[in-house]
Amino acid sequence: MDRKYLSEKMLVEDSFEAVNNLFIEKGWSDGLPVIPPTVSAVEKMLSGTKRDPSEMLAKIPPSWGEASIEKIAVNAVMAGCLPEYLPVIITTVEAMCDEKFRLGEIQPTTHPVAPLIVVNGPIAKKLDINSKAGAFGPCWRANATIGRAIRLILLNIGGAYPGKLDLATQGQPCKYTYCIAENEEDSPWEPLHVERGFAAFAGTVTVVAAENPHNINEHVGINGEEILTSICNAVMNTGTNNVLFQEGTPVIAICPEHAATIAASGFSKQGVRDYIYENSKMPLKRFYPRQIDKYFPGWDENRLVPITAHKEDLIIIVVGGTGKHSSYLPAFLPPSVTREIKE
Amino acid sequence: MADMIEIFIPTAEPKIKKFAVNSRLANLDGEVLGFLWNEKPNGDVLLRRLRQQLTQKYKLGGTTWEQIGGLHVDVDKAPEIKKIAAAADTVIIAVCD
Repeated sequence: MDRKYLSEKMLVEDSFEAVNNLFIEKGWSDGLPVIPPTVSAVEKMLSGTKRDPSEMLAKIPPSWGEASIEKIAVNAVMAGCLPEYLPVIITTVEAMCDEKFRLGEIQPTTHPVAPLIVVNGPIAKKLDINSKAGAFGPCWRANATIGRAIRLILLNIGGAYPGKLDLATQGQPCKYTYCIAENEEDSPWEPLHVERGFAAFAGTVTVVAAENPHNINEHVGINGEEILTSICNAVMNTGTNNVLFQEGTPVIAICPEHAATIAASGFSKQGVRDYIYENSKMPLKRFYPRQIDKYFPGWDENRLVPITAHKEDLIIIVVGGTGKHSSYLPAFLPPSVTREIKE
Repeated sequence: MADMIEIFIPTAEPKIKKFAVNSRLANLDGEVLGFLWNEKPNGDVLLRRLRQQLTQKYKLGGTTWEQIGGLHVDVDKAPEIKKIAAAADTVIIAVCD
């Protein structure tokens, strides 16, 4: 290969153990074993995109390292990705580095936030990104390694090492990997990317600065109103950023069985959004006086506190397999960003 | 001797714009102090207390206050930065969380 490499290289003893010991020692790993990013492995990874390896996508905060396509490929190799995942990873980096996403606040905050990657469109099935049973969990290579590549990029290029430039008080397990597809097949509603103006056949990545999924157990309701009542009760949490700062795009991930029952009661996706937003408003008296002074100064005592500032900020997606567990993913502060995946 | 392999280093050197630090003011008497808050909770509390203490300790030429959320963005271009740089002799910044 006669390409001029941008990244520095080094020699290391040719053993899996030696490479991994080095990466742990240098702080280049997420703590799990990594695949050695050899020249041949990185070149193979780069075969997954038509883009120039020397192209600089962005500078990643907080240390503002430059994310070239080549450097992204290096981290994708380490994560165990297949070359065909690379366009999703590149698009995710572009979406995260959109100024609107405020990655410079997400990376160093004390809040337990991780960029959730939601993939929509036929590409999700093509890459076997799990949207069904256990979508937020383990065992799907695409979910596990795309999300992990993003974390390695945030660590190695962005410099957000826990306790140093990532100041998360407790962190959260989704900082290892956080990638799903929307279960479009079992959804009674239009998918997220279509809601956002993309064609149904387009492949998109949406990034959301999210907490981990909080379960909503609802096995009793037999109509939309009952299930939505449970969802409303579950999202009325006075400790989320979205409530306290009246900002951000929380996600309600509805399981297919709940979605089917809600839709059978005549609710459109917008109808679900309207219902949840209006019926999850909380009385100001749920907050103690010092909180009211800090977060809601000047609010009338009868004014109700919504779960975030604007109804349209609520993201509704269908995720999961058989069963009656939905989930709520409170968010950090910035808006979500959707980008179309290009090869 | 063990066989060796060549690997890429996965990190990226930060590209940080270098700039010279201005000389420190010998005394704050007569100086206009700027206070810049990044809109994170309690940063304002810290800055207001600091302003109060410095006003008591020195005969300041005045104080000015600006706030801007999301200090990670291109701060050099933010109008609030230009405004406070023009109005103050020195600026104290609180980046809290």
